[in-house]
Amino acid sequence: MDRETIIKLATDKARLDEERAKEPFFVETIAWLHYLGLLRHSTIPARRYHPHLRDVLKAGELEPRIFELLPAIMILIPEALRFKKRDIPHDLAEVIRNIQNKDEEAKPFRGITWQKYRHWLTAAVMDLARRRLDFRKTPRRRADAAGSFAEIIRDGRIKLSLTQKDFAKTYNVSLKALRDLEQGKTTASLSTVICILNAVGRTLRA
Amino acid sequence: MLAKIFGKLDQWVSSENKAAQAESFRPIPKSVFKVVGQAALLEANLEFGITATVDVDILNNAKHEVVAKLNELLLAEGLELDPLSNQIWMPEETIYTNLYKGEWADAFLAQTEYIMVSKAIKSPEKNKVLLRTYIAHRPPKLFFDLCEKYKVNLKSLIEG
Repeated sequence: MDRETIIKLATDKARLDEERAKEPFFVETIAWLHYLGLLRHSTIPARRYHPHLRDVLKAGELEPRIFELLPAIMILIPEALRFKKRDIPHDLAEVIRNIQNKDEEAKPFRGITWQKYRHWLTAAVMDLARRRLDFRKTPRRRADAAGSFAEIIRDGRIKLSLTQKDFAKTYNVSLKALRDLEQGKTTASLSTVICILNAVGRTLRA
Repeated sequence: MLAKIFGKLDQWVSSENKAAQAESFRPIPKSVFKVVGQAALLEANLEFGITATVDVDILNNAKHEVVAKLNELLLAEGLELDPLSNQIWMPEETIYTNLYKGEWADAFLAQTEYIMVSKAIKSPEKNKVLLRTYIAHRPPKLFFDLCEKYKVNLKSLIEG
């Protein structure tokens, strides 16, 4: 098979993969694992969701690195996902059992070797993820005009695929002011607000 | 971000070596780090989305204390050093580009084509979607030449 045929074949398959990767089950899983500090993604920004285990398993078919993390998440921070006991598939339940029984060697999980997924059980980043899960420590979003204003800024920034840090750097605004605005605090200076709104393609009118 | 981390590591080794010199101890030798895997792909700013776990694959010849410090610096940025890093196979002719050049630490990034070939050979199932996307973006001739050399069956990989 020549190179052009290979590229054509890959393009057809990749188009389907790309379409699936735009679906909420994938975007929300990646954004959530990114938020927890367990995954990084070059275009999907970190965001708080609370995906169902079913969607995480589906996303894992597109991105098997999710399967690498899943056994450790189910054991160390199960509250990171929505599920009932009956939702856990047999293979995952078996892997969890093996780990909990401290079996010396367990089966691979959906193509991921035991050594590869075991590593996450003792990884320091799991502690960081647990801390990020503590919803009481996250700022309260105000359900008023300031709240919707915060949504506009946050959504605009996410559309630009920029983290808060990158946004602040790119548009030369204070990171603290940006964070405060996205949390519904209205203490930033007017010039900063105008600058941020312009960056997300909005204007301030009286 | 990785270049910044290696810069900090270089400074740390430098200060450790100054202290060692004052005490007439042997200095820590210069270390070489080669970033491979998904972390190198993320640094390469490819035109399609790349997912990576927060463990970074770095081939290195560093002493234990330098690796421990690197791990500490990575963790401060929410990353970790993959403990199995040095077991990663890369083609022998892999070209590495400069990421950081310092007095006590040099860091390099593996070129994308070689990383993709390594993935196609060592874990095709885990990387099939990534490889399909990469091939769909018309990789350079080098990639196909390497696949030919290492007998990678691209057709079955794409259709798998």
